[in-house]
Amino acid sequence: MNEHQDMQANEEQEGFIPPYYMLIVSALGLVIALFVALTQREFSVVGWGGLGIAVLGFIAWALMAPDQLRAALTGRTAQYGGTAVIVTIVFLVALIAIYAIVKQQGWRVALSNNQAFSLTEEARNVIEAMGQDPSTPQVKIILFYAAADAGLRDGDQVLLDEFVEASNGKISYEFIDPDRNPLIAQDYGVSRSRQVAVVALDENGEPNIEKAELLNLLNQEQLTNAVLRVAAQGDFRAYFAAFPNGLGLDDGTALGLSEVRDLLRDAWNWQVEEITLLDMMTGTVDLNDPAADGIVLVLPGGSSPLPDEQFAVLTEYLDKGGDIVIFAGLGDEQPEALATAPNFTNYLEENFGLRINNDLVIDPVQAFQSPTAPVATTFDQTHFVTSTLQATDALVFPLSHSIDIVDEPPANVTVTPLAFSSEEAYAKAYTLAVISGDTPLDKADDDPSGSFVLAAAAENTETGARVLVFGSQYFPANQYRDLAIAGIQNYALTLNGLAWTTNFDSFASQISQVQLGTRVEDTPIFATPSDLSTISFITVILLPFGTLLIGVWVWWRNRERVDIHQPSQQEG
Amino acid sequence: MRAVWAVYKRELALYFRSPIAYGVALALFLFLGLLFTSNVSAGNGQAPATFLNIAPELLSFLTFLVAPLLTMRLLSEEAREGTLEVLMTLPMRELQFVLGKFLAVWSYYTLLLVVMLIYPILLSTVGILDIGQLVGSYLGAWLYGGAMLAVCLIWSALFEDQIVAAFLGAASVLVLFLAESAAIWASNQGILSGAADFIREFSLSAHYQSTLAQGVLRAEDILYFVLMIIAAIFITVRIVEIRRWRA
Amino acid sequence: MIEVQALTKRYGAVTAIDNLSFTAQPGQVTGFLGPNGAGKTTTMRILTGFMPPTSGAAIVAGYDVFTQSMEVRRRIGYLPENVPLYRDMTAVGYLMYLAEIRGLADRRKKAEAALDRVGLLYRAQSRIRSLSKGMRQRVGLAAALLHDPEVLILDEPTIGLDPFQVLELRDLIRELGQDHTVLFSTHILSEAEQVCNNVVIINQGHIVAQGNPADLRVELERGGRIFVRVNANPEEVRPIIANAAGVASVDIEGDHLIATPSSANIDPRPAIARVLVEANYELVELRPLAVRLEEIFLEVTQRQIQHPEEEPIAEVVG
Repeated sequence: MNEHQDMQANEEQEGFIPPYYMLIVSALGLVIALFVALTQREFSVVGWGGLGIAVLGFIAWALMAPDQLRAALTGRTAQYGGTAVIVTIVFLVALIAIYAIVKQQGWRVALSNNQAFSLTEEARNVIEAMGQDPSTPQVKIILFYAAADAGLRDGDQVLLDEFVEASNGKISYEFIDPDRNPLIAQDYGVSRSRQVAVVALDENGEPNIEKAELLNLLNQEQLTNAVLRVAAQGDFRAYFAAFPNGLGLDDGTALGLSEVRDLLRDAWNWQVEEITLLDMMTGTVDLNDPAADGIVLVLPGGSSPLPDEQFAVLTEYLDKGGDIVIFAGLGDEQPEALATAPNFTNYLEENFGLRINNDLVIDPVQAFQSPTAPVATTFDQTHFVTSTLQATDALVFPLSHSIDIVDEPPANVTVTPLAFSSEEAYAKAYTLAVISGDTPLDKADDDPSGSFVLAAAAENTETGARVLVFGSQYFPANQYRDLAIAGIQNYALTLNGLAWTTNFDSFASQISQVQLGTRVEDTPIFATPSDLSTISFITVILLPFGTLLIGVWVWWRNRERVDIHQPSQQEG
Repeated sequence: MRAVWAVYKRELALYFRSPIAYGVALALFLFLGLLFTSNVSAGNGQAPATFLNIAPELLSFLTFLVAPLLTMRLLSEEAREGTLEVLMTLPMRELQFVLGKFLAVWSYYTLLLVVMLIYPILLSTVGILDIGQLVGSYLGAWLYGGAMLAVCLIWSALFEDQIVAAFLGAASVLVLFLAESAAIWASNQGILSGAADFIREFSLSAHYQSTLAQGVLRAEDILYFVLMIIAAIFITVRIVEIRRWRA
Repeated sequence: MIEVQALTKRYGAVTAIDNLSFTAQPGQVTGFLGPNGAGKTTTMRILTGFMPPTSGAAIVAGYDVFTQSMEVRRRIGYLPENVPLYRDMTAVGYLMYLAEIRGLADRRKKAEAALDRVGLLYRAQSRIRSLSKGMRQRVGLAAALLHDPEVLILDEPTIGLDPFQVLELRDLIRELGQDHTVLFSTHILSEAEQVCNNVVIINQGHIVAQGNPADLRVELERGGRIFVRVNANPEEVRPIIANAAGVASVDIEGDHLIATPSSANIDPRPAIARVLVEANYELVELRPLAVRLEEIFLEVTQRQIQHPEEEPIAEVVG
């Protein structure tokens, strides 16, 4: 072939490096750049390097063999010779490059207002609000899609991009193939493809996996709510007072509070601290910090009455609308403990309409392991704290005081007894002798008996103060967590209580209540029998056979014209 | 442009006299009609109208039959009958010739698609259509068909035997259609993830089913079809050139 | 005007035409002769821009066929061998289609004029598939004449026609030759002799002879051998003829003899006649061996086959 000879001749003239080597180098560079563009998320240094090599190689070739370039562009070889194949390949590669570049831009529009691709008005509003709130964390949506769901991925990207855009970049998303990244999938508890994890990121961009939510499918409503829940990091604080003989916040034993602490910190993102009441007095802890969304003071025990000056701090806190959860302890050096001392009980009775009796509730028929640990199975079903309990659930109140509810609560106060002992229970006046075992626990004639209130909640609707009282200091102990399987819900109830006192419940429920309406387009069709028969007539008979008839007619008309030899006749 | 128009007019007119074109239309309409009717009765009171409008997606799937049947004779007949020699000695470039042919067959396909608007129109009398989805899916089916017709045109240019051209056309459409499955397979084989993604970019279904057909317009999807048309026409023109070079 | 310069076309290892050079003048009919497979069609396809040459150049109507293909195509009318047509179209429809591609105005008028010129206007509305072979040939010719081109290239236009149609077509070509450059190929040599002002004979891709038919004949008559038939045993008369003045050698071929003159400038016929008559033999036939183009053709092409290395035996540019 001619062009081949030309090429060889040129090679001889050029000497040591044949110019077409440069073309090969250029092509290699292009292939690298293309590979990077198509497979990597970022067009990295390697990609630019490849592109650079491609351009430089081409320029080098053009400089070394300008006659070849001219021939390739204009000569007959460009059109017909071996170069035709190269020109074709270059053309195709250029098209692919255009495609790759455009794909990087990610331009897309959802024509349909289908929820699968477009944010609805409601969702957009809450996501935009979330994006503008500087206190909310970054949220990442991780979609665990296997290779077989790549098609789903393309469609879902459109919706996810809207989330990203509406949230002002606060939301990001990532597709992860669970088959290729089984460890990550495991972290989020993913068991199958198409599950979607929603997770908040901390300041360092680390995902808060504990608090992640897992959806079984991508669904706009569920996703929106999950994002809101995950992002909802109100500033909630729980201060646990440390007492001698009280339950320790950092105590990991059966009678410690570490389980409650961990959940509050990790799942609810609360700030949890153990303090002494002295801290309240000195002001190292500000229980009335207005910046907080909710603060609760927890008194897990307390075996001696509060001195007046400390008590004053406490009442001042409550009067200002502070919230408190009391797990009433037993006196050790004197019969009265913190919660049963006159100053405290009088205050509670006057201000919140309830009174913790200095007694010990004993239930000979319905108790956990010992009659001194009465079990409550009767609950107030209406109050938030106990509303989640099922009929088969039970609460254990070891060494519990009973609680009296006054008949006429103070103004603006509602008092709700939450849990009751069985009718068989009776209460013995608490003395140090009782606990040391010197006094028999049998029922005496003058002991009050019947169903006692073991837990109660009071709320001052004017000040907003909420008081939750449990008769037993051991109620929230770690040991009950694992008994939830057996229906003993002390742990859950403790958390409910903390949520209620801080209003965390309404905070959490507010954010998870976006409901997306259905579109008119998604209403099913309604066709009457006559509609159906019209449809079937048009689509099954009229359209196909009409086409056939036209075809036959055209064929017939055409056929006739073949055989009729018209004389020179002019057609219009 | 004048020559393109002349070729276009002749070819398009030919479709209205071609038994194959009517056969394709009859089979297509009958099949779609039966499926549509049974879907509507089954989905009455349950499924929204958008779910029942299966025509564009089904047509795009059936292009592996439709496209080879419509394109097989376009260029192979010219070569076999020798008329290519007449045309290629007229002042007309290969591109004009191929473009006229392609636009004619695409127009015929477009006509089929327009007739298929009867299904959404019927649905709109008994339900409410998602117009965005409708526009996306028809636009997608239109581009999809154009791309496949262009691909099948390559084979018609390459082989004088129509049957061979049709067979290879159907095979290549299927290969492009199944590229997505191939990508899934590649991914599950533990081959480099890049290879799977790369293969997938060439797949027809990855650019239609979950995006355009749902009413989502992505630049890369539209570009995929448009570039495929450009590439296929470019290759076809090259083949016609080489044919006459070696004739 | 067609100027062909050193035109070569190879298909891989096969050389279809090799270093072809000739000229076809305006106002003349140039015949392109050669056996099947000689490279006639290849040459014509290159001249019409259908096929690019491997090397060499061809100027048609003042334009290079390779670099200015479109200009060339505008100025030529081409009737390919076998006359490919769209059989589903009417004659006039086909011509109007070509006219539209050519961008002509008054398409119907031009199409009908072209049909009229080939005498087929009365079948203008007939579908081509219903036309006879000869009529189709004329439709093809009408297609070539449609735009009144400067140059007409006709590849075997008379093939497959009945004798009457052939005569008609030859008249038409002769008439066209008066104001066009006509290049037409044929392997029917009497046709070339009747129609052409100039003949190019090719074989196996090489030009073996060219010139006007009369010049070629004179040339070959003078240099040619003498055919002698005598009413006697050829062996008997062979020495007698060999003795005639100007005869170099005598060969026996079947029932006749071929005498080769000692020089191309000598006509030995009178001498042969004289010696035979003197010897009382009955001379039946005495003539130059190559008097008709057929014979020249056969002779030059056969020599080519037998002695492919030899230079063409005759080359008269005229």
